[in-house]
Amino acid sequence: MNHRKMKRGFGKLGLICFALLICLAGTGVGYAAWTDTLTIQGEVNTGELDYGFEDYCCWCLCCPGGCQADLSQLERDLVSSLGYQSSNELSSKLERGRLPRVGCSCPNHCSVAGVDTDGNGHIDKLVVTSGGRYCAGILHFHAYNSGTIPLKITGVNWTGFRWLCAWPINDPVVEQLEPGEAVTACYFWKGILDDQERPYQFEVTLDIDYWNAP
Amino acid sequence: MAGKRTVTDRVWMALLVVVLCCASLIYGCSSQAMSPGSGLQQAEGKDPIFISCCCNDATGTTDPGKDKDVGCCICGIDPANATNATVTISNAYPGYECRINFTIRNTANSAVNITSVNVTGPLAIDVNVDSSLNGTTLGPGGETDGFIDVYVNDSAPQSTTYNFTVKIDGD
Repeated sequence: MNHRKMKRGFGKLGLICFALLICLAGTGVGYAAWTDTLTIQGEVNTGELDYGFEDYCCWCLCCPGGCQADLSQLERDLVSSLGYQSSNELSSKLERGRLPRVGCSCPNHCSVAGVDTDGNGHIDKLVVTSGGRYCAGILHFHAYNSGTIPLKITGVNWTGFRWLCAWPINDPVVEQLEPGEAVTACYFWKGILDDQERPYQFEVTLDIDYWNAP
Repeated sequence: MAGKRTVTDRVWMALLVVVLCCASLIYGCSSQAMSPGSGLQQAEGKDPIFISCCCNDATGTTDPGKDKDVGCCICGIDPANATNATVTISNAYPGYECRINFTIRNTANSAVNITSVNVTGPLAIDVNVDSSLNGTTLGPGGETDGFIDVYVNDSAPQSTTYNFTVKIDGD
């Protein structure tokens, strides 16, 4: 009798213990197996592509008569009227910060204002106001790389006044401009319509791209 | 006499359970303790771990495939958990690319098999993982090398942060 009771009691306890044993053993074996996923967390931060204008100014010049068609002739006339032998000589004077010694005979002067269109503290648009009819001028500026990525300047945009011609003395188009580096630019500009409004405005911006762009 | 025997049997049975449980846990722990990994990782009970991770565009070096130093890449292993590594790429730009090389070591005393490698990330960047990793079996103490190639697409705008994740699973 006691022997049967003992067998019954041992059987229940043994079953429980056996189940417990299997669970715990499984836990141990599982613990010994691959316990974690390998993870690589990556973060990619792109740099800033931006430019700024500085040291910008313009000079009003009287337009030598005509100047309707031959812009290269206009350039020569303007250089001559300023007392220089060539565009390169004028350019070198401007780069040294010397103003052309010429009296402006236009009825009004020109002015240039810088605009920070994206509010990041860098002037990225120039607004030039011309004195009036037939007024020509010289626009001078430095363009610098205000971003963190080398850039190239692919072009200069002249917008806001349809009948405007501009051609470079110093072209700022460059293939590589390092962050913080600047390039000098100087342009002649001229409104060419007889009935142009006065005063008139135009805007100057740059086309830029990553230096490694095709 | 019979009652005494029953109590004794139960005590022995309980003792047996305790001993076997301990043996089970010791078995689990032994796979870490016998492994060649460092003490920190063993204490955490991790099996495969990263033992090295580096980029081919360290700070101050010319960008891979380019002619100047613009972007840079840093890779590090979490000192508290060597199953995690982090990659940080700074000042990247469209066309930037770099490779992250890493080594995995199996610190268990049994073989593990890499069953899947999953990558999640935005379209603006391409992240490609060494395809030979999947299916690799690492014996106890075994190591394998792998790499991740990261490429910034033209669609990636400036001044933006992107995140990607690479998960390597096994059994």
